[in-house]
Amino acid sequence: MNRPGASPHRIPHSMSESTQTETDTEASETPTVLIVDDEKPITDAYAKWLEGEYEVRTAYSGSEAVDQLDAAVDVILLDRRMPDLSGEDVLDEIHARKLTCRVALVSAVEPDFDILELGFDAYLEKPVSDADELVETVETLLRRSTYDVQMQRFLALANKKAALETKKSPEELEASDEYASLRSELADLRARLSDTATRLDDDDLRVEFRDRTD
Amino acid sequence: MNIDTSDRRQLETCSNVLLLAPLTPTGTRACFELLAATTPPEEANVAAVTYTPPPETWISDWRTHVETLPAELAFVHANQVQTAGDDDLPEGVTVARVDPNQPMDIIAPLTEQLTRWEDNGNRSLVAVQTLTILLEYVDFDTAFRYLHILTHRVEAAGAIGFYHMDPDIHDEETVNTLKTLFDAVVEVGDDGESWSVTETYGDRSATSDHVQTHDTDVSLPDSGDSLFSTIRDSLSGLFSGSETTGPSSDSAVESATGNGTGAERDGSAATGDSGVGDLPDGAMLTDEDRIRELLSQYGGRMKQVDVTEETDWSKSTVSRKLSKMEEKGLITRVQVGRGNLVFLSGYEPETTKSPFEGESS
Repeated sequence: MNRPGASPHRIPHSMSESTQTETDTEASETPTVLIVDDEKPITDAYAKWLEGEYEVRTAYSGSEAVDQLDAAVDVILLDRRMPDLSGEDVLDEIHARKLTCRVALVSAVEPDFDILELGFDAYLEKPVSDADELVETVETLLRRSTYDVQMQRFLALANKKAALETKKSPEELEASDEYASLRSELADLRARLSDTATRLDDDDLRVEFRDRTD
Repeated sequence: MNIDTSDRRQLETCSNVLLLAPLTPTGTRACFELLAATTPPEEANVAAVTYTPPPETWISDWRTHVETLPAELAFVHANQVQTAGDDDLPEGVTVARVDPNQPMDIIAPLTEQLTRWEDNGNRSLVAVQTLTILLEYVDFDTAFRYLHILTHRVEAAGAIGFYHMDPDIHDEETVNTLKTLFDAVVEVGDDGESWSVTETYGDRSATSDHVQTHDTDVSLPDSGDSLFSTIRDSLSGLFSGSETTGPSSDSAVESATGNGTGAERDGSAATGDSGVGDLPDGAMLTDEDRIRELLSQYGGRMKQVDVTEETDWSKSTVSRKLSKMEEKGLITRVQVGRGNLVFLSGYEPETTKSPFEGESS
């Protein structure tokens, strides 16, 4: 039941479900945003806009970005054209390391069809002159990420429950602690998913389905 | 069986019901009667998400089984083949024709429709017919996510959704995985006589199983307006017709479909043990005509095994005849789960995206 059509950046979710579920769903955790741009003033301006809301990291080159990347990063704002390692190289590294962060590609180049192959989550056209636009983008990515992670987990648990129900007799299920805890986790997750889904607008959902139906 | 207060409270908030029923006229009938029993048609807004039978067929089937059309009726028809009957729809009935490959094309107009109905004083119902065909268009994972959003939107709108699926076409694991998305599962047997209601997230003992003992169930406390009791009550009367027409469930099916599609047939068609396909002028029909007639009675699509059953031809005969018909472009066969689905030409799932997008109403 895996999705053959899923874009590469989504695949890692299943591999670090448990940790990701915690970082993304606990309201107390401040999300971490990594800003990458070789033009220092731009990077610093973005950092200033986002500092109040998020844990902010900055990198002034692709290789610095690679150093700063780890599982704690939720969203990365990534300049596409940089001298040493380009944004696309950093993207490759993110996929290679199976990191779960959401990527907004920031570029002065107008998006063309070639970008569809790159595997990112949002495209911001430079110059980004408005703090609200940036915050909006980060919020959107965090919202989608939360939904996606919870959904992935929900589907995995639903599969597991169904597999047990197929193999075991009702009496065996009745006696199984694993089955009982699966059921309660599913019910709990279902309620949380419902909360998350309430915040998703039609655009978020189009993105949610885009990779699957093309 | 005991349903305690907390269970009942949960059932009262039930918004999404998975209806497991065969992909036959019996299943369609179960779906309609369940809808009508949940809310009287005069007080219902019904949004139907349909895949194969066009809206005009849905309407004529509804008239056969329920008679009164819902107060408000709108279709999201996930099939882009235009049908001749579009102009003849009753006044006020709208049809949004959408691409079945694009889940959001279905969710967005449906949500808008439910929002428009929000304050009109009626109860809104959503009928998705059927998940079995939906799963033809998108992979399981996409279907699961799509249904999650759909059920969420239905719940948020204060509506009740019924989602039909034929459990015999999909493996048990697929059906069980999907169950987690719904508040309750209503299962209607092939014969239309045995049925059960299970609450997905409640106590597992809260399952009512009934096999031809509909009205002997008195152990369930009166639970007011809960959907569960509504469903229960509606199912009690659902297939009462079959009790008076004798032990053969075929005859019940036949009388139901005979009324619906047999404008050209005379009333004596409903004679005992003959199958749906046995028409009074059967001798005059070619085998291909007979198959086409059967298919249209089934809403344009049916399982190949049902063709075998209805015609009493052997499996290989049916297979051979269908192959010939497929060559002529009269039908399309698609492998689904454990067997083939047969689609009448014009009802088949589109394998390629149609260039015609958007709505028509």
